[in-house]
Amino acid sequence: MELAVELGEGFADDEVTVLVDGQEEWHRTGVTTNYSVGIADVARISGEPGALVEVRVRDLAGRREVGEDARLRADIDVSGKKLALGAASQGDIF
Amino acid sequence: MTAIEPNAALQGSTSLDLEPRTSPADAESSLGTQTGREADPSGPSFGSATVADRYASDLTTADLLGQTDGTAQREALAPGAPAAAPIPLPFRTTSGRYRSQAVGFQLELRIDVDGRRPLRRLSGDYFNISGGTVSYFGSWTVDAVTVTTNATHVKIVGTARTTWTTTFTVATVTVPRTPIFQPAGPATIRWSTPSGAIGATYVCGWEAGAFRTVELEQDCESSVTPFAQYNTGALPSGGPARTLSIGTAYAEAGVQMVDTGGANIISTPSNHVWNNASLHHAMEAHFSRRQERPQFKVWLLHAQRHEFTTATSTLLGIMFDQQGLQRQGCATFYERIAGNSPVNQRRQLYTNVHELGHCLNLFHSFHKNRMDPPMPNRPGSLSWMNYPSMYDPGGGAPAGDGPFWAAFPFQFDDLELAHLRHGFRNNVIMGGNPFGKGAASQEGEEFAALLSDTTGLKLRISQAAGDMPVLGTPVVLEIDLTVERPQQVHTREQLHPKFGFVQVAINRPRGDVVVHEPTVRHCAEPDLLACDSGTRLPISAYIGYDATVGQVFEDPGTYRIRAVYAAPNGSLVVSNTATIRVAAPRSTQDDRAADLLLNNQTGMAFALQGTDSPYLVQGTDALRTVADEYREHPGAVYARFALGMNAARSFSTVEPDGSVHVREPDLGRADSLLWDAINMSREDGGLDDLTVYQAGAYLAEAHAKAGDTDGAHGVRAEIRQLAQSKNAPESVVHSLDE
Repeated sequence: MELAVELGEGFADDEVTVLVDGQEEWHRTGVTTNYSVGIADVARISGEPGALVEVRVRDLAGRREVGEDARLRADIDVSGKKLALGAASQGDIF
Repeated sequence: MTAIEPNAALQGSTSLDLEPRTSPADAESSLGTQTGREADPSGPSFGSATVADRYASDLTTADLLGQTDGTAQREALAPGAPAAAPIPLPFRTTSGRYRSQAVGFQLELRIDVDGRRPLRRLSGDYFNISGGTVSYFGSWTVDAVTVTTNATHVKIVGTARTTWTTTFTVATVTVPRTPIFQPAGPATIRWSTPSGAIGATYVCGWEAGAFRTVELEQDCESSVTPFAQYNTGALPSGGPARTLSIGTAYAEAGVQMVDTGGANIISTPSNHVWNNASLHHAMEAHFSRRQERPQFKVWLLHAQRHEFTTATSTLLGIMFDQQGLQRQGCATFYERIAGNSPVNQRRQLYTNVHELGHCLNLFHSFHKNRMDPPMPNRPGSLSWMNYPSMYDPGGGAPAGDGPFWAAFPFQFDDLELAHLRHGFRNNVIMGGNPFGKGAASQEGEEFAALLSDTTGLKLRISQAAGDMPVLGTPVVLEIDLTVERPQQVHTREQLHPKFGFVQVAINRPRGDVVVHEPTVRHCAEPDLLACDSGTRLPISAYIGYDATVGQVFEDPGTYRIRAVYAAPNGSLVVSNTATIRVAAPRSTQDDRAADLLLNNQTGMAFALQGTDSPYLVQGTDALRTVADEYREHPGAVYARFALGMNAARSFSTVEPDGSVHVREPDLGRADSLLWDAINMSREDGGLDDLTVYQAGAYLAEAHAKAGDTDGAHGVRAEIRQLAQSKNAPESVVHSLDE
């Protein structure tokens, strides 16, 4: 199924790689959060339930097994030391 | 202060008595520069000042008659007529935007003391008028004012923080009070230093009731019916019922949104989906007023759908312009909020006002900690910039959509309002600073909010010399790192802020925060030291002069200082908050010495620990004057220290023909000045201990370099003994070893 991995807060001109089961599926440089929506970019990849999605940026990495959610979200905290990869929230963005 | 800057007294500027001798009408007619705009819904007559603010008990209808036709007198009223109770006449509000004449520096002055949601602030932008060109010079803001009102005038006083360096920071504004039937009088602003020296005066004609005017160009995708207006009483809310459009919503904030009309209809294929690149391209193609320069002009596209919208999440709007000069365009997406239902109309209003808020450099209420500099988040804010679903007033109070809409009064919160009305121009104007930079007019303790502490290292800072410094005294900070468990840290010398491993932030009494930028940066590989538990590494650093803002401690008052150390393992160690109170000059002598020491050249010369540079000759002369003629001033010993350090070393000057002239060290003068400074500091007062040791070590080295081994040995031994007698930490005593 198609997965949308939202690259959310804390990205600043970053090089980001998204892997599925260790295989690089998406790669982009210059990824920067737009805080008017709290999203830097959306990586659209293929991944079946049970697959392991990994987001790598700087020296950080976040991993999550694909479940029923078709949307995941990666945020870097304000200290820049932690990357959280979880289910994307639902609702309006603006 | 001799630099050409707008707050200093200008050649040819008028020295005005701030108690006007003419009537407001006279003053205005002599000024002749009224440029009031029509259709300004937030103009004075629309203000909502309190009765006490707006009405004058000493003006009556009879007065009005006399003032409006110039002939009618009280006596002309029918004799014997029953004495009617005076009907108080409302005054115009003072708040609004004023502008001085376009000569030299032109000032756009914003006064915010009455009217709708007064913030009791002043602000302004200076423009440099040169021939046919106008360029932006800088901005200033007074965050808190004292307002005095009498029957005829409003007087407003406060201390400004500025985008440039000036000692003329005290603003005194006087505005005549005029009845609403008369044109507004001019505002006169006079600058002075905290010690009372008079600077420039500007007379500014009333321009508009709005603090800012923004030109809004709206285009629309062919399938969209754009939002027009919403009655806030259609659904329960927290404010009075009224009809709001984009324009009136911003007018309530004091920002005039002028719809430039002529909306383009942008034809797109059915089911067209926008992305950020196509939005930016559309802006370039359709925003007729767009230019590659900052301007208060913005483009809003009413569109259908963005690619970020998914089955479970809707992107309602975006400020998409994050390339080059940012924040010039935004879009609202109607796919899921179209139609005339009150809920959708309310959503449309909210989204449109919200996106334009981003263009004015406002962050979400829950993203304030991501701004540069950061502020605490305000999830409980009832603001256009929150997400209703994210609303959380805390304390267990109801949160989320329902409670938000029930309480939302359709407005920005106070700090956002301060930013919109009084933020420095480049922090607000479209195409100014990048999105998020300078996005708040009030800055907090960002170090505390952003950084976390670690165990094993302790950073303490304090004012190096114990006394309360009188204005002008160089401020030296002691930075003391204690190692609580064995580990590697930077050497003592590299803890000086000039190496960049320690950063210092200073919260000034004028309300701003200076993240200290030393005038000289040392780019060095980290020099690490293996330390045992209990090792103390203290270093002193002069922080009085800054590469960005110039003199840091130029006002009497309380300064709060914090430092952060970036340890080799990546930990960020935050210090305590040190408080330094700078005393006002206590005598004329103090005042004169402060003027000399607060000169920017003096600050730079001191930061360099003395110099022969012809470009800083005024600063060096000031140091000499203070050292010789103001010996009682606490700054005198620092002046001797800087002059002595400079004398102890050579100075190379590159001549215009390319040859190099070297002035050799003058050890005799260095000995005289530095021993004088050291001896003045042996007991209470004078230099702080670490600076004394530094002076001694430097002098010893100068003697050694000159081949005077015995002299060097003698100086070093004496200083080492002094350090031991004062129980200096081992690392300091060790640094004085031969």
